[in-house]
Amino acid sequence: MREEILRAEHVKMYFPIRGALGKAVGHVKAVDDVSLSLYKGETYGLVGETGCGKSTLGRVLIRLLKATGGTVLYKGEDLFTANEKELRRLRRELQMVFQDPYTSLNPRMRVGEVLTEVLKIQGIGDKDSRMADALAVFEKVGLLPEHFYRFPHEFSGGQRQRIGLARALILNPGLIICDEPVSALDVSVQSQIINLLLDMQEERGLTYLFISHDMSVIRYIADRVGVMYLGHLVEEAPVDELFADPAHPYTKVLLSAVPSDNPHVKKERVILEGDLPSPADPPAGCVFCTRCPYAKEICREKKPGRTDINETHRVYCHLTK
Amino acid sequence: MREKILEIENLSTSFKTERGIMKAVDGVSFHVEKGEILGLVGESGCGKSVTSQSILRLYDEKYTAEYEGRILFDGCDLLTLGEKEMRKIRGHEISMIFQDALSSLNPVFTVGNQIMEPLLIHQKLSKEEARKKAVELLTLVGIPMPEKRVEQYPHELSGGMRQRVMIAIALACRPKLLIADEPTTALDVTVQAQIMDLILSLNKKLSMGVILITHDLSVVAETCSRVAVMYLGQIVEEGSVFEIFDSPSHPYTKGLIQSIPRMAGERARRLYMIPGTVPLLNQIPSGCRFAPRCPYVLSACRKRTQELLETGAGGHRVRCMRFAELETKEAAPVRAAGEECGV
Amino acid sequence: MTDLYAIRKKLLKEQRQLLVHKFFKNRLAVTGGTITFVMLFLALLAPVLAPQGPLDMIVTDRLLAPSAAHPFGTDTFGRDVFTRILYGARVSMAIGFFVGLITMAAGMLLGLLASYFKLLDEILMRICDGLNAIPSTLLAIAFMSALGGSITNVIVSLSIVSIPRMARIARSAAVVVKGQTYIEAVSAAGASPLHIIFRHMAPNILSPVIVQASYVFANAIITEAALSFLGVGVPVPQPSWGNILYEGKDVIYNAWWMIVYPAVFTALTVFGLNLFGDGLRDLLDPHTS
Repeated sequence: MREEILRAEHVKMYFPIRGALGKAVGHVKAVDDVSLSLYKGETYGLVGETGCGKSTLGRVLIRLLKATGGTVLYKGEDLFTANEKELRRLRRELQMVFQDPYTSLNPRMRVGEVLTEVLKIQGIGDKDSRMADALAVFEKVGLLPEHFYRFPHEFSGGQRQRIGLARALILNPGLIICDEPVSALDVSVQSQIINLLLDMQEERGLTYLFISHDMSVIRYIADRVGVMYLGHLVEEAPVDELFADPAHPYTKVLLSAVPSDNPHVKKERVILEGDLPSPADPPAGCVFCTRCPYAKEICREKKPGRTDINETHRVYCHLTK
Repeated sequence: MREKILEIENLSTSFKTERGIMKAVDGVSFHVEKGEILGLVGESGCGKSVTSQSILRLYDEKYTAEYEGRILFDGCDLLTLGEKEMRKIRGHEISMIFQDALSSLNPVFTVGNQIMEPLLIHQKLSKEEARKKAVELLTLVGIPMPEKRVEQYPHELSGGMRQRVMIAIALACRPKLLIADEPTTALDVTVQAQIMDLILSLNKKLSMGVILITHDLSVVAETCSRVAVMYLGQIVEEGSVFEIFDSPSHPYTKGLIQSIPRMAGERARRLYMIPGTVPLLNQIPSGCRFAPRCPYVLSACRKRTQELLETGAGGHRVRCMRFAELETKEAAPVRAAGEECGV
Repeated sequence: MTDLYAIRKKLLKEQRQLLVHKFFKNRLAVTGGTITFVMLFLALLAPVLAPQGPLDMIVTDRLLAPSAAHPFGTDTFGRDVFTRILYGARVSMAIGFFVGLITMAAGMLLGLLASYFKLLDEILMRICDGLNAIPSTLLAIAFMSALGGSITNVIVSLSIVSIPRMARIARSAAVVVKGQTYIEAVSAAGASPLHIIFRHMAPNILSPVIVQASYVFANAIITEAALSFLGVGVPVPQPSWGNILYEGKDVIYNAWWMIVYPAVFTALTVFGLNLFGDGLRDLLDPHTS
């Protein structure tokens, strides 16, 4: 039986829109009623387009943002009710790798310090042991000891992403949220970082929540995939099943939009009409109904409930039987 | 063979910087035929954008950039033209669209004004005619309710709409050549699909030549008829899209194609990796520029400069001394795939 | 580990050399720095360089034109203008320096706190707005008349006048830095707000703040001159550049040297400091190397 390490239930993250006098005049519903579980050692791929709330959800799950509602349990401990002290301890378990390798490192800090600082904040070891730990992680991610005292701007994007990963690994976490860690990188560097992530996972039994907009990367790295649209999780399935047999119309559109990497195959496209509705004013009923090619009366009136296609494949759509 | 509208011969672009002269493009030759889409691919720093901007001579020639070679457009060498004549070419005969549509559009003018501008300048249309044409163009690029959109400002449009507006501006004077520099990189995949479809259909409808600059090989596979792969300021391989994807001859092209995660078929346990990173322009290796990262490198590769050679088959060119060997039998890599070779 | 220590030493040396190299390649910084340094040098060595004391009066030698004995002439009381300018440099430079320093420290602290704590931001920024609404020289005059004329009071009032602007600059820089991902990354490691503010945000807003401080330095010299010229700055007979001008204004038609020389010194110093500030701005950017 797989061990569940994180469970999120009915998570909501609403950002207030402030009017002229600082009063909330509405809410951007960045994440709306999302429930999911992460199992030890797996990679959960979270896909969706800009503004679908996938990055916000990632941050809420490790409480970098304080959710508006719902619960998140990490190994049974409630993250939203944890006090300062408990939270600091939990931070060791929950780490993050960021998208932009250029803004995710302090430009005035030597990269070695970036790592030792994390240990210092957590009160781990003394000066020498922290240095030794940092060097060990440095080596793990393919950096050299002579890089230790250099500044971030002396590194390429790929190397910076290695440093970012080292920073996440040094506390020996159980879960790492990878927020588009390869989308700013070139193809050849992208594969180096993906392989490194896989190596680290194999070695340490890490769990990843891998956020990406790139379906081919998700297909390669993820075990299970969740698809988000306008703050909602619309479908979740094991990766092969999702790619072979998508159930939600949005997933179908998304998959058909990915260009084929074989020049002999011309893909049949479902072209999406219109623009993404504003998350401050989402459509009533199903969030996808305004652009769905199959939308019916009921889709505009009622929010679709959860349909389990099988034990591991769920979808939120009225039209799935 | 179709008519060549652009022929670049031995183009080099160098920049004067604090650290000396950097040759960002070094002896690049290729051509674009009427009505075809040529893909220019490579990783960041390979010189693909510099090449495209050199065609329009967008760099400051007084202080920073220096061009060499010939850029023949319609039989006329663009590098010999004066600034005034060049201005007539830009946006009129050759148009360009950029990655970042928001910063390429002026936020204080309406969409309509910006589409009308090249029409008023180049085609000397009256305001009435230009406006009518602007609405027509917006319809052409698939923007719904064009009469309403001409009155709107860029920030009122979504990312995909803005890119469509950019394309409409680029097409305003019916250019013979469109240069699209990473037109969909900032866009979501569903929007990317719409924009690429649009570029494809316009290319057919208006039979203009298109240079598509991108780092995304899948986009190339889907839209281009011919492909030129660049590495460190040089073209390393050029051929039809089928030649490049079915039987890539240069080790760099092979590596690039193998590095992309596949959307179909088996998943390997690890992705293929090209070892190392792209060197900086002031640290260009001697001999073959790809030698330090090449899995098939021989000591001769590091000594001899490589020329771009015809492989025999129509227009397929490769810059590799071992291409024949690598093509016939699977030559043994000198180092295991993915082995690091010093960062 | 010793190996790493050697690497560190070598790297630090390299980085220091690079900085020195960059400084000397920066024409603005070198010119501005030289002017400022010469002025500081003159101020510090005034007792050695000056031919006589700043308050020594030779009544017979009133309003003498520049000559070998008195290179910048003498004033209404027969005091050597060159001497007074040198001693005035001490006062003017000291005022500029301390105003710059105090403004920098206070403005940075306020800006950092304001960028992090929302309520404080509202309060502080409204106060700044209020102070900014009054012309700074006028405000300084008001403070001086309330506090009374002395060098310390000049420093205090000029600091109060220039802090709001500095705080605004520090705040807007801090707001940008706060939005950077590395700040999020340290909070993900469990860092406290104070740690984030002082360890991560402060070093990253330092360059605009230091550049602004050099302008404040220059501006304080000008404003001090203005205050003293109006008679509400450094009290006579103590020399400051403004004082010398003040005393020269009554005899402007027969003793041009009493106006020209202090004015030239003031302008040159301010010019040097501004150049230096511009040069610093280029030098302090960590991305250009």
